[in-house]
Amino acid sequence: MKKTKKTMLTAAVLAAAAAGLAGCTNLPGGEQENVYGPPPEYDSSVTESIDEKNSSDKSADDVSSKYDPADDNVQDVYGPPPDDDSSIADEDSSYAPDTEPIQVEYGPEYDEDDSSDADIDFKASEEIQQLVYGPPEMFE
Amino acid sequence: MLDVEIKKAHLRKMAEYRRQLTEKPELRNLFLELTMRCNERCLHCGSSCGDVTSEEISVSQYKKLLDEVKADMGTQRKMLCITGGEPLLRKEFFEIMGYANELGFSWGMTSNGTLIDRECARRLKQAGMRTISVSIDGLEETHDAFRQTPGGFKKAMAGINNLLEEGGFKHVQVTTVVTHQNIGELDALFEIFDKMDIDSWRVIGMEPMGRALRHPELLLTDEDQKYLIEYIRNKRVEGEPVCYGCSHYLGLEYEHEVRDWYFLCTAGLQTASITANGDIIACLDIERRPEFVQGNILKDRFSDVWFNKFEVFRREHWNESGKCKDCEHKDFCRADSYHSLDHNTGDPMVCFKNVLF
Repeated sequence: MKKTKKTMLTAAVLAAAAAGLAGCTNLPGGEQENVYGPPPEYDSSVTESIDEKNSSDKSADDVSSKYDPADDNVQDVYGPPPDDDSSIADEDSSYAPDTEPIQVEYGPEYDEDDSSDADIDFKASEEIQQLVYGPPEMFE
Repeated sequence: MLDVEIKKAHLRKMAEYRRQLTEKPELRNLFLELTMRCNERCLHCGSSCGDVTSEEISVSQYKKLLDEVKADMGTQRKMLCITGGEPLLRKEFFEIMGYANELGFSWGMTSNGTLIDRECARRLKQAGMRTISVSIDGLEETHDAFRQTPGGFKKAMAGINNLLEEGGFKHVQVTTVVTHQNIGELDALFEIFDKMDIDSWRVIGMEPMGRALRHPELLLTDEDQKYLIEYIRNKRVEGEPVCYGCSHYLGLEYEHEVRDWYFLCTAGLQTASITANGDIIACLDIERRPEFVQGNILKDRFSDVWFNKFEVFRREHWNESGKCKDCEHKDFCRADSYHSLDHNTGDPMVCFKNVLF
């Protein structure tokens, strides 16, 4: 698998955060060496309203001001990985545009006479399904 | 663990961002379910695909849809996500996607990989495919049994290798759905994928939907869930391109540590889908109920529906959940993912409280 600057940066950040935690708790599957030990003691309460300012922690505010949820590329469970180039902004977006044009290649020529305009109703076939690619014997 | 106070601040920002999206939704993912037909019979299939009747809209109807979306909303900052069933079973696949490519849409797809020979890989690149996720759901015996396809593992791996040999794609990913049965195979799978030149490995838990509901024995236990999340985080600490999926709020300890973003269910906010018969819905994983169908491209213009409908997804539904009402995490979790809600009660069917946090 490809390790990139992004994955190495993530590793560095997570490892730095883990530094100083003690011990490991055995988990199912056992032999796995865990970087993270028992849950640290922290204030896990989240009862503050989302409208409240976190005025007591200036550093959190400083970091949080740099985070923009609009920049998150939420990857759908059901879908392919997002194409980072697709985040090229429209003119009125505050997102910094990537002006590099997407180089694309066009596929096979269309057959102008193809009468595929009719609505297509597929019914479950009792025969071998029509396959786009691969000889039928692939599925024997 | 990353600084919890910073995470809270970010999650508050995400909550506010979500609120802004309800007022001004921004389409970023448009799923096209080209067909419900599939040459596999996965036990976990959320759409119960297979050798089934599949009403399918025509090529000209897809072209009209794409023309309208481009005219009304542009092609930038959005991605077409091609799926099914097995989308390559659609004989007009390259005609549809070549047209999308020519219009300037970025697109990617999910596939079981079994139909991707070298020629197919070449045509996918030619048609402008940028990203793909191929499913491998266990070692060979497990994968074939889970997907009810003898020889499926070998064919899928061959498909992945054909893509890698062709080269030139932005991102080739393998997705593994983890079950109670295959969770012990993660290390062995990692060893296989580590030797391949794929870009990432997405590891997700089996969701309680579709055909999976007939196999409760495969659903992950609480112990499995914790193990899975820890496994992913440990791999990421090692610099490996492994990630969890988009679903589910994971709590302050694990948010943004097993994936590169904070939890946000984008159904109806940034994500819409066109089913095989042209229905306009939010996310293909959401139970196909009539009240969730917002329109149909055979009679509606997509942008009209996107901007004027989808109210059911653009509200604070988590306040209606009895389970979530008094939970201190509800502003961050928001009753979790829309597809795993029990739409009869409004309560989440998947909640990691007392499991991960």
